[in-house]
Amino acid sequence: MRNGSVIRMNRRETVMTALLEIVNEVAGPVDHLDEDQSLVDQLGLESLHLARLVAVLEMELDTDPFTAEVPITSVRTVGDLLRAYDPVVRAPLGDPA
Amino acid sequence: MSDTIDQRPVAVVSGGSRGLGLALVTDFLARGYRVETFSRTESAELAALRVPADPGTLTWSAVDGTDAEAVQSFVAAAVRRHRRIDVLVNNAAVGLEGLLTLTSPATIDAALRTNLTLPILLARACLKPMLARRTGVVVNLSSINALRGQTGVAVYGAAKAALDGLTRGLAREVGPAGIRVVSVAPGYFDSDMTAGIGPEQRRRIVRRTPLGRLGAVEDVLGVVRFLTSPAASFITGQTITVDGGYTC
Repeated sequence: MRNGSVIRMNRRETVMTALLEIVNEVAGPVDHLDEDQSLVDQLGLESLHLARLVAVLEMELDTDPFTAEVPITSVRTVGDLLRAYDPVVRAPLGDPA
Repeated sequence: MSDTIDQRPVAVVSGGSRGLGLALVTDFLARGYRVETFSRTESAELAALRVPADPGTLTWSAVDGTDAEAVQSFVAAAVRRHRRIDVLVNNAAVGLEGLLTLTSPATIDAALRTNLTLPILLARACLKPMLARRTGVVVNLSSINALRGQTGVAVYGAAKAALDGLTRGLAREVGPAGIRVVSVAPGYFDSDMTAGIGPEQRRRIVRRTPLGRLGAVEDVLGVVRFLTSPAASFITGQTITVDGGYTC
């Protein structure tokens, strides 16, 4: 259980770090992101930025949730992105992950 | 070696066990690349290129190009090993000759899987580490059959023309991320695929070729070498024909 929480926190941090790096590049220096911020409308990300973010995270986390589990079109906000990479939120019912 | 990051670039070449693929693997190794390649079976020539003291220099995997999952696992393993892919050469292809109405749907499907679906899946997988590093080159090996109609190779030509379409579309898609996508369309050159050409047809091809000969593997290698070098850093979305002027 404890290990699961640590993994979740680490993942969250990894996603946030990768996202911040790209947002900094696109919108200039930003040190904090809110979960309800829109990736496209507020942070100015284009689809190729999202593709790069997903690619970076696949290399970091060895997973791409958008291959099967989650449609990329459902990700609109920072919070949506974090949830897509959260193994507990993503796991189907009964899965102990 | 173990505590320093290997800075050598990485090339993925599909179908590297023989023919042009083997020549490409050899050439990339000579240029200081690490190479990842696959085929259904390994050839003695490819095995001879292995460097026992440094197994990461050339990695071969047994992969059936029509198995989408195996193809994805192959690229995932390559990325885990090297953390980068600099070049993808979509070389693997199967020849398919015969009038369309005399070709079975199963044969057509198998040819399209190898000649079109495989390069698309490889591009999808290899573009990810390229996007992450914002650099890379994809070379799709097309054919003059994509540019000119030819009896008996309509399906082969259709797949290669589609590959050129992939080149143009992807070039626009990933160009802003610093990645180039190009096609190389060889004409008739000495290879396994043209081994069945009879002497009379060979003479006819030579007669129609302004430069007066069939192509050689080195002719194609030279263009791939150029396209994957900094000298070609402003070329993307193009199909470069290497046919001695046959289609001009």
